[in-house]
Amino acid sequence: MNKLTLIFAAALLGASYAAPVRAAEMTEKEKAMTNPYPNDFGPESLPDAVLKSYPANVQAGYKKLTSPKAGCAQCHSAARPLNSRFVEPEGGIDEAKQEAALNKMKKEQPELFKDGTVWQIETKVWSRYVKRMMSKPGCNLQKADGKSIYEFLAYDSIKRKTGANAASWAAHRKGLVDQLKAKNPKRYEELKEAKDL
Amino acid sequence: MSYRKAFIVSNALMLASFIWAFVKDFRAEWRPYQAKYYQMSADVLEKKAAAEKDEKKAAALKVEARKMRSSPMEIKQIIANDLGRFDRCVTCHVGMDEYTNPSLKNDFKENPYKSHPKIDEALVKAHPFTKFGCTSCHSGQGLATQVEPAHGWVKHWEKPMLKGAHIQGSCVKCHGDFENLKGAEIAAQGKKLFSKTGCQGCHAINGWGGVVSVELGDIADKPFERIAGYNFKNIVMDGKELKNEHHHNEWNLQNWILAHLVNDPAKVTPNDPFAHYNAEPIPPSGMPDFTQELSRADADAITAYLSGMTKEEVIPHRYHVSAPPAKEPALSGAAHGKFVFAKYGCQGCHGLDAKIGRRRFNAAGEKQAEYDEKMPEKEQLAQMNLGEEPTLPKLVGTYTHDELIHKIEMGVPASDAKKWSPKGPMPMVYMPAWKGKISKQELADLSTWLRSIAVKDESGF
Repeated sequence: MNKLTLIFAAALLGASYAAPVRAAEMTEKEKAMTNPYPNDFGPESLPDAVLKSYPANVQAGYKKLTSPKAGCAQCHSAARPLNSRFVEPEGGIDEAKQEAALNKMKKEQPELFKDGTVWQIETKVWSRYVKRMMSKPGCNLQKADGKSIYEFLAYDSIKRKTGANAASWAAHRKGLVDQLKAKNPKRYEELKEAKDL
Repeated sequence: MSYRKAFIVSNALMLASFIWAFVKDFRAEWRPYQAKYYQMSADVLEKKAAAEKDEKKAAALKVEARKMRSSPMEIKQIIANDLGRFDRCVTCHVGMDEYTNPSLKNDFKENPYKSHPKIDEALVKAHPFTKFGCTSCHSGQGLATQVEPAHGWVKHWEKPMLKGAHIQGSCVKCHGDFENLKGAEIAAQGKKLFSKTGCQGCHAINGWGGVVSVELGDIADKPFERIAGYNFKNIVMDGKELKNEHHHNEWNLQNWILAHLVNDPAKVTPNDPFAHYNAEPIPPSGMPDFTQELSRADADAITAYLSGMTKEEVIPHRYHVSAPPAKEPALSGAAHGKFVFAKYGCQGCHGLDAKIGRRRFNAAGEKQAEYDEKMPEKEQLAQMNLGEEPTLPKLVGTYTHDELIHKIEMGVPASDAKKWSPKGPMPMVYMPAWKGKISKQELADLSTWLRSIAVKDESGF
């Protein structure tokens, strides 16, 4: 048996040992990409400049969200919430205040309500989603962490997706939808039919 | 050897084979049973004759006894053409032969001599043996005339005789109205339990139900070869481990169904969660463990019901008794929603009345220790077994009415679950899309009920 044969055999053995483990163990990003949303094609973090412009408590929520061991990223890529179409109106935890803010947005920024694939503006939408994720079996998020993440998502959704940033957000979000359509047309049609783009 | 000698030898061999065949037939297994039946019946008749005071009647009984004693030894056979049955069971079970025993009654207590039980009931009157044969209800191998083969306890016979309560599965084959049928009470109870525990959430029957696991509308036709014999080594029934030999008597469909109800299915079908033999890890059976919810009698009832699920048997249309679908209770709103939850078998995964999520192998749960890849496999397996389906009251309050309806309509893919062991298998059970299966009104009421049982939100945001 020559050296080359030995190396080839060793490589084969190594591959056969590693393959099963690799197939089962997927990163959250890979897992997300098996049934992707447009969100999953976007970045998994915010630019530093954007983050630094946020208040300290909001920045803390962002850190928790992106923490691979204790945050949202333990179950899915951080790209999913960061590139989401959800927008929660201002008003804190008071739903009536949020309702008033929503009505104001409808009057002042009617363009945000025209394309549901770019903006889905609803009262308490992030509150519901964060609690929903926290209710899933095995979610390690503590109440305080959940609240902090919620505060970030609600604040970020208004700052980055509406007002002066609405146009750049629309371009970004439409680009993600186009990427999904080009890369996974079947999934695109599936989400379109389910009204979940 | 000369031709003459060869001719003599071959003749001798032929004679020997004739003698061997004659002796073999003379010593056939059924003969002693038939002879004993004739003898026992003749003895009874003679006793009756001796006790009879009327001389004419006594003489008639004596004649009958003589006839019985001198009855010819023969293979007896029922030809039930419509059902394609040629049953020789009455060769040994002579008390059930309408020609030898026209009353179909006797006082013998033991098989194969005793008459058919419940002979006075409408059950037997409605199913004359000459029309239905024996195996159309009892299963077994009708043409055979030896004990083991005739009962179907031999290699390659797919329908061995049904025992005990399981025979009621035969009522289910033809009677659409079996739930109201006298004599099919156990099978009817089986259907109720099947529905109560939510089996239909994962297992459809004739297209009605979930698609998570195998359709059971033809489970009674499942070939033995598709039930891996080695799995039987994991089955404990009545405190005894079943033999795992292929084609052993215990290796039959009824035991296979029962095994999933009186054992933890994950132990019956452990598969390969650590990828020792396969390219990828394969989780054990995703079926929940019902051993704490179902008694042995409950499990037998479900087995009886499922034993009637056949598509293979040719049963003429005129033998079927149809029945209208069961009427649903007149409910509305949340009360109707609770009914809908049970109707579609949601409790199969989410627990009775949605109180607690059932096991979901290798899904992350609340009772597990933190994952550590250095943990021994046995401990990892135990942790993976602690994975669970969502407990709905904790979750449903985070949905609006419309979101919840949408969620149920679209279902949840298996890949959505967070795995406890990243290297372990994908949790097998998923929520199917119920769109088009559950009506709009049912969905609305289901959502109303689910949201009514949501735990109070104390998150503070």
